[in-house]
Formats: sequence, C-alpha cells, structure tokens
Amino acid sequence: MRLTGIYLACLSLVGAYGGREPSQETFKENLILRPLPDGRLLAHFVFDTEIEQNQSLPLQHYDLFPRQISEMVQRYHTEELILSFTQGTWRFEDWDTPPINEIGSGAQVLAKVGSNERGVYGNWKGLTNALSGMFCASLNFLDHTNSVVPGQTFKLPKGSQAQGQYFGVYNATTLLGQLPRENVCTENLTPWIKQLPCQTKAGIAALLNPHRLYDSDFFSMGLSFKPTCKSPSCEEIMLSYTQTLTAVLDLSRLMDGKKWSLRDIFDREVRNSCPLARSSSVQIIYPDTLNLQLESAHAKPKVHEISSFLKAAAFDLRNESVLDLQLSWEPFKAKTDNSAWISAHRFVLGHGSENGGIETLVTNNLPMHLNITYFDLIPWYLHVYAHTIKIQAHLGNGAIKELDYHDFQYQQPKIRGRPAILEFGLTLPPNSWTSVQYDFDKGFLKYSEHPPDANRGFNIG
Amino acid sequence: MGLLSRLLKKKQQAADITTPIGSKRDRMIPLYSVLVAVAIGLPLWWKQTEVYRANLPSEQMIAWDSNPPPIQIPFNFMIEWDDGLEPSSDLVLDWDTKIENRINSALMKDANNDRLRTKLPVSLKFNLQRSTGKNFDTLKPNNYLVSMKNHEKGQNSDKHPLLHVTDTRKWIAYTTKKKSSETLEIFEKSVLNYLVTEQGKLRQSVVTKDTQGSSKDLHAINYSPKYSLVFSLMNEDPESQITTWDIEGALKQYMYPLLNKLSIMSDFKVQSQILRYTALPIPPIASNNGTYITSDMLPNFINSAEWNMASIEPVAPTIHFLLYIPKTTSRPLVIKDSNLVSSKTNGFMISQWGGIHISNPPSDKQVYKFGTKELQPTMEVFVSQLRELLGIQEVSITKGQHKNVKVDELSPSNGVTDLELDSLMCRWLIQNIRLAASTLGSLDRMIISLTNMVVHDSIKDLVSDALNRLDQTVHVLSTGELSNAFTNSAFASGLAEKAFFDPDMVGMLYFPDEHKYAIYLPFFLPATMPVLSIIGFRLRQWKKNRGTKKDRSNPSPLKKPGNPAKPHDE
Repeated sequence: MRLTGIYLACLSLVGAYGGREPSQETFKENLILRPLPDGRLLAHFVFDTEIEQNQSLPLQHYDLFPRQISEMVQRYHTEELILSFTQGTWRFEDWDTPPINEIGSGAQVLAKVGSNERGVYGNWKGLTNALSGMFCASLNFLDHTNSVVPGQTFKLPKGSQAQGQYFGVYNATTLLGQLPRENVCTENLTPWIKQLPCQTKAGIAALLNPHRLYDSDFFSMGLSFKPTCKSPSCEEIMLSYTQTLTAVLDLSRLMDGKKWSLRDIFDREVRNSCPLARSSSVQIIYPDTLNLQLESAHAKPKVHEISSFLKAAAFDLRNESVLDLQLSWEPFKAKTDNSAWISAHRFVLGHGSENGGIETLVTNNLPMHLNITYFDLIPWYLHVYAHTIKIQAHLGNGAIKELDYHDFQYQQPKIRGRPAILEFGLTLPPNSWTSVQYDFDKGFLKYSEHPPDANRGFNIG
Repeated sequence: MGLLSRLLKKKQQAADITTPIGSKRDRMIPLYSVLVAVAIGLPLWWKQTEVYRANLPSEQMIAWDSNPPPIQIPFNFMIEWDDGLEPSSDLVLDWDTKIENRINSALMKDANNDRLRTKLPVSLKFNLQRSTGKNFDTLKPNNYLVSMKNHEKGQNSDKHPLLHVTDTRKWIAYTTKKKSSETLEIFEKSVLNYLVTEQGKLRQSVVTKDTQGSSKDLHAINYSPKYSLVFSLMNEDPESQITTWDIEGALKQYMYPLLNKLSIMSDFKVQSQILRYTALPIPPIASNNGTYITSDMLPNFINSAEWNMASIEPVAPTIHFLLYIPKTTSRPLVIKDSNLVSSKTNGFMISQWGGIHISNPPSDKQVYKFGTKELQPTMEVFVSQLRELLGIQEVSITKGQHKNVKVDELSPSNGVTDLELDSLMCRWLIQNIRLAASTLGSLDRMIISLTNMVVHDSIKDLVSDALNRLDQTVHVLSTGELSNAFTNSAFASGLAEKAFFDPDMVGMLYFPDEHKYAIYLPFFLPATMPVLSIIGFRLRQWKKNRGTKKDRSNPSPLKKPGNPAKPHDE
C-alpha cells in the first residue's frame, strides 16, 4: 500500500460534503403474546427504530436505521410507507381486534409519494420495483391496473406537516397498491429479518422460526416508515421505522399437552436481549378472568392491569439470561365486551362466468353509533353497476333499515387501465350488522390475462 | 330465387356452349383472385407487418469501431522566465519549437515502434509555449506551468540546476543565466520520459485482446459518471463489545479531499452503515497469538448471503469498504500470506467490488468508539484501495533517481496528485471513446443481424448524438482542451450505451420466425388452398386443352388410326 505516508495535515477543502452531527438512533423490541379464546396463541413482534433528525436530508450515515430503506424512501421521495405481506383470514369473532391494520390477504403497499422530475407515478414505480427487489416479491406488478389514489381513506389528519417539512414537498399523493394473490414465504421473511439490527442472533427476533411462523392460521409481516413532528412547531423531526410480525399459532395442532413453553411454541430460544435495544420486553396480555399459569425459572413478571378486563404480565429481557417461559390456560369464551368493536366480512355472490355480486357485512358490536368509511378497490375486469348498491342495516330487534351513505365517491374503471374505487361514509346503528351489496358483470379477458392456475379463480382483494 | 336459377341456367348454357373445361370467365376467376391478392393484399400485409427501422448512420458507426481516427492527446507546457534568464543567443532563439519538435518526433517514433496492436490509434502531442505573462492561478488538466527561477546564491550549494516537480500543475526550475540551456535540457529529458511512459500506459489500456493487458486494469472499475461508496463497520460480536465510529469526521479528513479532486470527472454518493453479528463464513485459524486467516481464504471472506450489502442504486456502481471488527476472543485477527508472514496493512481488496480492512481494537472496553484518530490507519487503507479501484496509477517523471529532478511525494491532504489526476482523465477519456465506438459498432451489427427488431427514431437520435459527441471529442482535443474533450467522451459513451440497452428494441426479439409462421399459417392456409388447387387444376386442364387443340389443328398421323377404334367400341 502506498499511502502509508499519509498523516494528518491541515485540511482545507471539505466542500459540498459538509459536516453534521451524528443523529440519535434508538431501537426497541417488544413481543406481545395473547391467548385467544379458541386455544390459539397470538404472537405479535414489534421492532421500533427511531432516528432524531434535526437536520434536513440527505441522511448519509446509519447506525441502527436500515440503510436500504432510507436510501429507497429518499430516492423515490416517499414520505410515508406501509408495506405488508399477509396470509390467512383474521377471525374477528374469535380473535378480537387485530393488533395491525393491514389484514387483507396478499401484499399491499401504501405510500405517500412526492413528485420530482420522475413524477408521482415514476416514483411509485421506482419504489415498488425497489421493494420488489428487496423483499423478493412481485411488487413490481403494481402498476396502473392495481394501484389507486384513495379519496378520503388513508388520508393523514390535517396539520401533520412533518412530511412536508422533512422532504420539502407538501403536496404528496397517497397511493395504494394491492396484490391479493401474492404468496408470502420464507424468501420474503429473510430480507425482512436482514433489516433488524440484531437479525435473529439475539433478542426476541431469535424466536422467528419460519417453520413455525408459516405453519400458522394467520400470518402478517410488514414495515412502516413515517416522519413525525417532535414538537407542535415541528422544528425537530423524528423518523420512525417499525417492523411488525403477527402470527396466530394453533398450539393444540402443533403439539400435545396443555403446558407450553416459548421453546415448544417457536422451537427456538431467547438467550438475551438485543444488546443494541434500549428496551426489550415480552408481554403476555390476557383477560383477567382467565386462569393463566405463568412459570419462569429465573424471572418474575410484572403484572398490571391494562384495562378493566385485561391484564398484562411483562418480562424485561435486559435483566434475563435465558427466558424459559411456560404458559398454560384453559380454553375460554370471549366476553362480548371483549370482542372486536367492529368486524367486516366480504364475499362473492352468484355463480357462472357472466355476472355476480359482492356483499360485505359490517358488524357494529358497540351500543352506539359508529361512523365508518367504506373503501373498496375493484379490479377493472369486474364492471360494477353503481346503481345496484344496496345498503341495509339489520338492527338488534330484527328490523331492517335502508342506510344512507354520504361523501360518495366512485371512480369509473378503465378496461386494462385503472381499477374501480368505491368509497363512501356510513353511520352504523348500535348493535347491528349492515350489508353493503352491489352487482357486477365479469369482463371479457384475453387468455394471457388469466392468472396461472386460472380455474382456482381470481383474488379480488 | 329467380335470379339464382337464371344465373345457374345461364352458366349451364355457357358451359354447354363452350368447351367442357369451363368458360373463359371461369378460368379467369382464380387468376383474378391471385392477382388481387398480390396487388392489394400483399402490399397491405407488407405495410401492416412492417417493422419500423430508422435509418442509422451505419457507415460512421462501423468506421468508429473498426477504423477510428487518430486520437492525439495534448500536453500543454508553458515556460515563464525570471527576468534575463531566457537564453537569448541566436542559436537558441527558437528553443521552444526545437524542443517541441524533438519531443513530438520521439513520441511519434515511440508510438510507431510500439508492437502493441491497439484498437484506437492513440498518441500524445506535446505543446510548448513561452509564457505570455498572464497570471495562472488555476491550471486546467494537462496544462503545466514551468517557472524558471533565478538561482539565488547560497540557497542551493549544488552546482547543477534543479527541476522541482510539485504535486500541482506548477513546476519550478532553479537556474542561472549561464545554465539556462542546461536546465531546459533536463526539463526536456524529464518531460520526454514522462510522456513516453504515459503514452505507453494509454496505448496499453486499449490493446486488442491478443496482446496482454496489464493486470492492474483488471482491478479497476470502469468509468461511471456516478459512483456510490458504502462504508460499513462490521462488528462480529456486539455482545462482547459494542463499536461505533466517527465516520463523518474520518471521511472529512481522509476521503473527501480525494473525492473533491475526483469530482471534476464523477459524482460520489457516500453512505455508511453499521452491521452486527457478521460472522465470517471461514473460521479463522488459531495461533499462539490471536488468530489469522491466510490469503487463499480471502475469496470467501464476504458472506453475501447474510451481510446486508445490497444497494438500491440502479445505475451507479457501488464500491464497498468494510472495517471488520472480529469478536474479542479471536483478536488479534491478522491476514497472513502463504508463507505465514503477516500483512502490513491487514487489509485486502476485491477487484471491482471494494476493500476490506481488519482492525483489532483493545478488548477491555464495553463500548469502543473509533474516533477520527483511530480510523486513520483504516482510512489510509481505504484511500489506497479506492485509488486502485478507480485505476489511479503513480506517475513517473524520471527513470530511476535523478539527482537534478525532485518530485514531490503525494500530498497527504489530497490523496491524488494533479499529474495522477490528469493521467486518470486521459485514460478514462480513451476508454470512453473506445467504449462508445465499440458499443456503436456492436449496435450496428446487432441491428443488421436482427431484421425483425424495431429501431425507433429515438435510437437514431441517440446514435447521432453519440457520434456527434465523438467527433466533438476529437475536435476539442485538437484545440488542446482535455477536460472539455473528456466531458464529450463521457457523454458519447453514455449515449451509446443508452441506445444499445434501450428497452424498446428488446421487446420484438422474443418472437422468432416460427412464431410468425404459427400465427400466419392458420389464417392463410385455408384461404390459399382452394385458390392454389383451382390454379393447379386449371393449369392441368390448360395443358391438356392445348394438347387437344394441337391435335385438332395439326392432326397427328399416329393418332388417326386410334380414332376410328372408338366408335367401334360403342
């Protein structure tokens, strides 16, 4: 090597590169376990990375924050990003409210994209292509035919100016793209794990065993990136990046017996916390009526009530050497006040390949009125008749009532162009279920437009 | 109904009246349909299925690839004299032209003697000018100013004049009135030696494949207008020690000066990251003092499956620099060669990928921070690796030691001298021209060989732009402006590559001729079969008919005896 003679001398030119203080980055990990009434177990992993950003872009030096994600959102002017891969159906009646919003099956990308010389759509294409390469998924198929700009849904509340401040672009567009048919598998999980500071080598992420996770009744993993204001004046900005993984495991099918240890459930062991984590915890949330047996050789959980009917037992992993937790509980019935406030079901009506309909049942379990927005993304090959939309509320006393919608928005589909969007507001009566129903004609498809294994049918969201 | 029956009747009558072969009109119908098909159908089909192919300047493209014009790279020297130093006798009055001629003819001779077969006829051109007395604060690449200073007594006890080659483009020579021609001689010798070596290197970089290229070039990444540099701190075991680094400070001190210098040619995007739990795919070998890995294990050092090295940058090549911190139990980890001699730098380079440096910080602290000072050895390794990856080569002014010539060492604050920078610019210029020329040549050959490929006007525009830029490069070189020529050459190669890799052209390639037949046959075969068969039938009839006609008009004596036999049969 030649430059061994280099020594520190006066440095004059630094020029355009400039200097700035290193940003403060924090990492937190948290695992929530929740026994479900039907004997299943909900495991919800949350990995939070935050970066205090008191300077403007570009971010250059990364410690805990994943470089590729930051590079991607900066390059494609993405102000906010939510990506999710989901498999299975969430059973609202049995499993209560899901801990995540994105429970539709397949892959979904929701992003606020700004415009530059590439344009909004160019940035969206770039972003989805980059995500596709990163997560080994078919996200590059998100194009005009399955990406939409939602009207009211997914809109950020007014006054949230962090994004604009952060990127210098104030009129970003929210785009939503769905690939309902996307299969989720280990090849998506591996790059997702790669973005974690400790990967699966330490901390709760050590439990991420793909064999057990993909053998579950419901699986969802995702990430979100979002800048938020640290103060009302929004001078300082916090970039938060969260990775979540949610799985509903059927323990009785996986193994015998009624006593389960973490080791049995995941076939892996938590040795310690991730040394980079500011906090690292395992929480078990259960109804206070449930007789939950918790055994741990070393650690004692801190038990506290989180609501009138829910208790939580928390373990701080930073004090543990090995967490060998054992759980057992009797199957229990969900209390009505414990089940989800609101649940939705959607199914296809009719048969044959000419026409059909879609019916969505929305149940309001609360004893009060609920304002909701109904949002439906319908592929272009279903020609929806807006005049056939029928909304009926079935009240608790058996009466049926026609409901009025407000703020109705309907985007006409274009054949081989854009999909249709149906969006309107509803006020659900207390303790009722409401049916939203509409008819469609099935469009004529070229043979190349059929998905592989076409007789299995189409996934429409 | 009536019409049809009448028509049929008429036809019957016509058939009855004429020969049994059918009416003349009947005979003409297949002929007409063929004619209509040929006259209207064929051009229509031709027009409809025609592939648009813009007219490319094929001759120029091939010419640049196979028979490019001579490229002469100018080296402009300017000499300024202190008062009264300039040689003034009549004999040496036109010293500048004489030196210029001598050096240029030597360069010419060297280029012609050279047995290398180059793809581009490259040579250097030396220009010498007397200073016009202007003040030169900044000199452009390949422009040098030699100041002849009056040798002050007592300043240098050496009798001989001295040429001082600095790391900028300003050289200084100390001389006296008496010794001025001798100084010029030393200057001439040094410059000649420098230019001949440079010419050799440049010609070496564009040799044809059958002559050997230098191995140094294999490490280097090709020129790109943008590079992405990623610095990664790899901590094998954060549980025994957490490591952080002041990368911004270290880059500012050691890397940015070099990048600033190079920014006249390329942009550099710099990023850094910290990765943990980066276990080596090769277990180090334990020794009595720490552990080591041998040089033959190095190709497996990078664990690309687990280390998060990927970049989303779509175009710019990424250069990686890894600072590897082994776990405390295997420290110190050193690299040893096959004779088990430890490497001096404890770093190594992967061709066209990046560089790695292994550092063994003290294990006693729970958290270890690499400050700017601690990063110095690492940054030295990285800087020298980056130089090699970009293909920056040392420049030699003299052959061996020359006591009269003093060449400055590389300045620590820059990482690259102006001479090296100019040399790199010349090589990248030549490479760009060659890349543009060979890409255009390949594009032309590809378009000629694939007749079904669509060639849009945009391709034509890109190609003619690239050709313009190439011509411009040669033109600007002849006026002596290297950096301007470099910009043009970079544009030329960029445009040529853009044309070659245009996604529009690829689409049609997926359809081979068989595909065409598969589509046309079901359409045309059923339609042409009856037409063809009726034509065949008519032809046979016509032949037969002609035979019988001949028989009638010119009765053959042979047939006659046969004819009476027929009635006999009846």
